Amino acid sequence: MVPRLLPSESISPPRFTFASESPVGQAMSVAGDAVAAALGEISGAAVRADNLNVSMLPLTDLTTLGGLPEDEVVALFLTFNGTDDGQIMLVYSMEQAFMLADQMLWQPPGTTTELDEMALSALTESGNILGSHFLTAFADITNVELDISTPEALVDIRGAALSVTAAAVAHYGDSFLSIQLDFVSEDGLNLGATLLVVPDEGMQSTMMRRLA
Amino acid sequence: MTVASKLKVTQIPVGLGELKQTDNPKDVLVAYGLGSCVGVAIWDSNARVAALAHVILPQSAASSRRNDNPLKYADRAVPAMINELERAGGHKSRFIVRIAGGAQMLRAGGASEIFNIGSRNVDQVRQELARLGLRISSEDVLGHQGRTMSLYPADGRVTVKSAGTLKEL
Repeated sequence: MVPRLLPSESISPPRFTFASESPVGQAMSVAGDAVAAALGEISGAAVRADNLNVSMLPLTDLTTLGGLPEDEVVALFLTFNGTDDGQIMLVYSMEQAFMLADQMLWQPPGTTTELDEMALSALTESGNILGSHFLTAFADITNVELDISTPEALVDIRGAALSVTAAAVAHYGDSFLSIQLDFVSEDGLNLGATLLVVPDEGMQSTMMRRLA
Repeated sequence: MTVASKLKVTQIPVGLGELKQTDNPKDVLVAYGLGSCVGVAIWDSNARVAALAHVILPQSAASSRRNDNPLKYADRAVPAMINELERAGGHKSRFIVRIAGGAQMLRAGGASEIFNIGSRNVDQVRQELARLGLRISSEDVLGHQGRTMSLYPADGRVTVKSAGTLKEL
């Protein structure tokens, strides 16, 4: 017997990518640039946002976003509230996390080889800065007011880390908004990151409706 | 050596909110990266048919939407998998049930029900199984770490990998 996906393999939520010139694509691009500028300031090197990809994806794709579900990752989890409530999750591969920790601590590349307390603290601070810059830019564009929490870091396999976001997404639907972008520094380091922004009401949130 | 280990197996991923069933001894059903989600594995020792569900939330009644995937909820996925297994020749009296997952991935807690969703998933799965007259043979639940759960239809073996350690459930 062929393995069966139940109740039917034909049920599939929407999967599409927002064009870069679309309102959502443009808003995310502006927000990504704000994050890159902030990252440049704290790392002391010019950083630009590149390869932006904004997509609506089925929930089943969540645990493989940016890599394999059993890859070890560092995830920074923040919540926001205000006009909309929701969550932001920043996900780095371990290699990216080491690179970012070096940047944050003004250390030569390759210095960080394990996530000690200092490195995790630096990464958490990066999440604070990146998350708040992203959300501030996005809130300005969509004319909403949002407050953001301090981040919590977790180190685990990708699928498990993203289950936190999966539970929030699943409560409102079967699709999620994924924002993937690379932060490239002038010395060639690529601090690629997966950023998930999940308003509690999903695509029906105030900020998404204002971009529609 | 187990039956499954003699065969070259094909890994069948069971994604978020999915339920998959097979009686092919060369398959292995795998729920990768269970965090707060719960994997429910049921195997019929006679019919040698197996099903694995990847549950995300406890109750469908809490959903704000009515037309979404019902199998992401414990209270819908568990009855559905029992129905499907019985339709495939299985019988409840022979079912061997194992569950894994339900971790609390964020330790801060308190701010939102999302922080506590793992234990609520486990509770709901246990309740549904009990309501349907099924006993859990073994489980590896709660805690703070992610897990990958695999179910081998050839012999009903279930393994759980967590923090780099593989164990049989």
